[in-house]
Amino acid sequence: MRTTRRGFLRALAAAGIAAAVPRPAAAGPPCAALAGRTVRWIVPTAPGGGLDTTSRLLVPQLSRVLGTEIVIENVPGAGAIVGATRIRNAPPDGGTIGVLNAPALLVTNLIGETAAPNPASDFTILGRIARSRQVWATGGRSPLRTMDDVLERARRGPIVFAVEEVSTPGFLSAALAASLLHLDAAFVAGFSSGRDTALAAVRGDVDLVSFTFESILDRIESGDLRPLLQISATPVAEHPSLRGVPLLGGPGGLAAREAARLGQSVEEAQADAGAAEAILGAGRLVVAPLGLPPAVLSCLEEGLFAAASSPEFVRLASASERSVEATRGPAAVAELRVVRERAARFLPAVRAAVERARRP
Amino acid sequence: MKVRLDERSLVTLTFLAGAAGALALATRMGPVARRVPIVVAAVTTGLLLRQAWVDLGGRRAEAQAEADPARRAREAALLGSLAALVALLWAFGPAPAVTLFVLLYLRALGREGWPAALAFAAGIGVTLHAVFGTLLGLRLYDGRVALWLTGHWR
Amino acid sequence: MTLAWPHFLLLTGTTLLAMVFSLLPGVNAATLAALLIPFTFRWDPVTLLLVFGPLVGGATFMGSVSAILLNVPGNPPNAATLLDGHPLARQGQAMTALGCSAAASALGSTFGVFVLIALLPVMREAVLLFGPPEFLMLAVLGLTTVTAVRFGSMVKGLAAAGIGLLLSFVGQDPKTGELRYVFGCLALWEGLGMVPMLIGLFSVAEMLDLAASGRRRIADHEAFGAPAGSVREGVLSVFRNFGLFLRCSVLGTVVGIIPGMGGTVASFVAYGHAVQSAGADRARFGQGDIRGVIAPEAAHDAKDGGSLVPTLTFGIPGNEGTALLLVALGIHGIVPGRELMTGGLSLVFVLIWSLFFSNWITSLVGLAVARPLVRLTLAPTHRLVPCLLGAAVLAAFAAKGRGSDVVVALLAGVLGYVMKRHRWPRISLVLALVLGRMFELAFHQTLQLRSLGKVALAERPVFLALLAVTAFLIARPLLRGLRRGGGAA
Repeated sequence: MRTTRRGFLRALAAAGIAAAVPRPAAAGPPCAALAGRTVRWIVPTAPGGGLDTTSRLLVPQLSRVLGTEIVIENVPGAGAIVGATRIRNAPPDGGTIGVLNAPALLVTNLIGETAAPNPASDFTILGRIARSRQVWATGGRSPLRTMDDVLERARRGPIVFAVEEVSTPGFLSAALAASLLHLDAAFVAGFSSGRDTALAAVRGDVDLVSFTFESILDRIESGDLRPLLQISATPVAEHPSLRGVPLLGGPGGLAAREAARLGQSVEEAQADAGAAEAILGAGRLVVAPLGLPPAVLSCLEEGLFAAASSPEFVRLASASERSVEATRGPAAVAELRVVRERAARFLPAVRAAVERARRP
Repeated sequence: MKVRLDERSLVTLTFLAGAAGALALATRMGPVARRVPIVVAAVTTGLLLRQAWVDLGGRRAEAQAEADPARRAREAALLGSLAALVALLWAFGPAPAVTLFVLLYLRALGREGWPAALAFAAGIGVTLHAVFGTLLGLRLYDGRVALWLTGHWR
Repeated sequence: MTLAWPHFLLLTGTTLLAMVFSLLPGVNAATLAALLIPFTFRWDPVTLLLVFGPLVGGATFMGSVSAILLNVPGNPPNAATLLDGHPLARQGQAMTALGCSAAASALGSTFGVFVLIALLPVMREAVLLFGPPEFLMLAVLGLTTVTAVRFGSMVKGLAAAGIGLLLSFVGQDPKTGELRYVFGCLALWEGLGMVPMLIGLFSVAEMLDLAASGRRRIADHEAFGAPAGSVREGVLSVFRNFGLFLRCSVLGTVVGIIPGMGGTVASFVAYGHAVQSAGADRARFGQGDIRGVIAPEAAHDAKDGGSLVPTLTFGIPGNEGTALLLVALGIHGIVPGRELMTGGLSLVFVLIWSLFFSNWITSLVGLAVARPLVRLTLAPTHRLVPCLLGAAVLAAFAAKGRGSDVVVALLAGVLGYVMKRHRWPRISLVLALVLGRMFELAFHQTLQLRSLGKVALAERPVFLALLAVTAFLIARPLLRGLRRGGGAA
């Protein structure tokens, strides 16, 4: 049983870091629609995880931009479903907003096992503060040097991935990309943390892991891990270690190449790769209940974008190894629309991957 | 065989019921999820059956815990106080609940006078607020009453 | 550098602050670390590491002081110390217990630090030696001690362990995510929290027992003007049982090297080993056997040195303190890994020596301040009980900020009280509880990796060594029994 007391203390530290930063001048006029009110920011996980830490770095900035008090409330439980439900059911008056890890909830909805709120349809999306851009990586001592080696190995037996849990972006990335590349993938789940999961690849107990590039950059630079595939149509970062590492999507991407090799539609493969990237890239969304008044919606959207793209927030996030990328609400909504349209195509692949992960 | 149903036997039977229930529930789990629990529950149920046979038959080597009416009364009062603590927690949140609990315990079970009880409770309350509320930033007053009053409970 | 007087002043000051936090239930040195992080922005790396040494694990003895005197562990890993430490205090041997705890703590930490230094050239390889098969054998090894700590009926001991295992299965199955034994309660999805369970089984249960017993004071005798034991005797007891101390220090260090196992596992498994290795001479465990203090204290503090191994090589925290250390290092751009272990080795030594000295400062100063605290054992129970119950409630709540954890703690307290009253061994239950989830997960992962052809058990030396040790520990009492010509021990 994991104690998240450790997480709580990290949250405390993050709050302290944020409080210690010199305050910038206000980015714009305060939000009149929220004047004199206290806004609740729901974090659907226990203190100290990624969502919570990012929130504690962002909320002080947002509070200053909006000119209103924002109070963070942790509502953990049931894999973030409790907190997400609390946001969805709150009165649509701007008094309650929150942050979600969209890919996790999308997976839960895709496999339909639990009545979880759907980020694509059950919320007003105010914006995105971080996008998950994954890379596949193998251990530094692994005999798998390139994706060609991986594809060759896959013809003889399953490629083994280590994942924390079935609902993580890492699992989803592995499941979706493996289905696009027609890879036979097996999943070993249950590692206690991201770093522990990565260690399984370093040890050689598994073939591959999937993480955001920033979170394993230190392991890549030390030679413990080697990136093999970028789950994206464009490079996930400018870094020497990614030179020569193929992309999944795009015209020259691996998905299109494999589709051509197998005599399947290249355009469909590229569209599927784009949808997979959109599902993963749904990232961390800031949401509110459906039916917000237009003035409140506009104010929250603009304020969130200003806070999430402020230099102070970006610097603080970087100091705690968090990649952040601000996207306005309408753009995030447009991407999620693609996800909704394409998600059904991935349903069999995701279901099969979940079954495989749960197999004895 | 003479069956000896006393407090000790009842405890064993309660554990046995729990383990048997866990076994029954384990049979309804998925094949992977039940693999270890079913074995553990089955073995535990078997062991508890053995222990129940020993306890009910009075064949025990260990000394029996003394049956003391005064102790029973204190136990009942303590259970009641814990139930009251849970109710206070639900209604008022941790800090007010603990402060009120200390006050009520000192008065009802500790037979302290009002001045001492109030002083203790106030000291506890201030310390809790200072350490857990102010220093650690925990939300200590989010009982149902407070949430209802501020319109946040639905 | 560490011994320059401004640095020493800083180290001592932080240690004293950490001691205060470690003494209070519900907060600990890691809490202080979280509060200090915002102030570290302008510090140089040496100052940062001097301050974080005590916060990583330098003041844990103070949690044992409240465990021994009040039967309330300052932190979950201190719970194992109260099993024999508090009975010693009730028998008027509080200072003996405290002296023993202080010595075992300081010496255990020293052992862990020297092992850490010895492992510096091979730290990375040491961490990589442990994977799911090794975790599985460690869990099995820990579970074998259950048969030793039963304090009476073997059937009851095994049944209590079974109950502990069943409690560890509550929540999501670690492999499939399927919900087990949650009865529709969302608060149970993530399982029964370790912190509220231990607080309940020990702190709450002991307070209930104290109140129900009708005892007016904790101590069984008037200690005013009478000696409460001998610090010298307590210290000497560590040397008289040096073999046990060494074995438990090794155990603690190994547990520390393994990411995620933590001080609670180290303490309880060491306690179980102490009982197991006592053979026929185990009657006094649970009633004031000094070996029951040496074992968990040595293991718990030796673990701190071991836990820096995965932290400094791979950035994997072993406990709350090391998790915050990583946050602080990250702010200063210090990244764990090869670069730190080669170019930044001088900083690593600053941290190591800071940890070393802070443990000794804590033991020496702690003993001095503990003597007046012994008088708490004479405080009226009707005042102590509600205050300590309240502290336990807040400690359970502070873990995750959830009211449901308080309910878990109180229910566990009732269970612990019933078990104590009717002589069901709580230690067996707790051992199984702390190890159950790790055992099941490692079991599934090992089976799966083996079926996928990713691990060959016969080619893993650590796995084989642990298997041999486990087999020996299981076979030894059977062989002894056969030699005696009677039943098994």
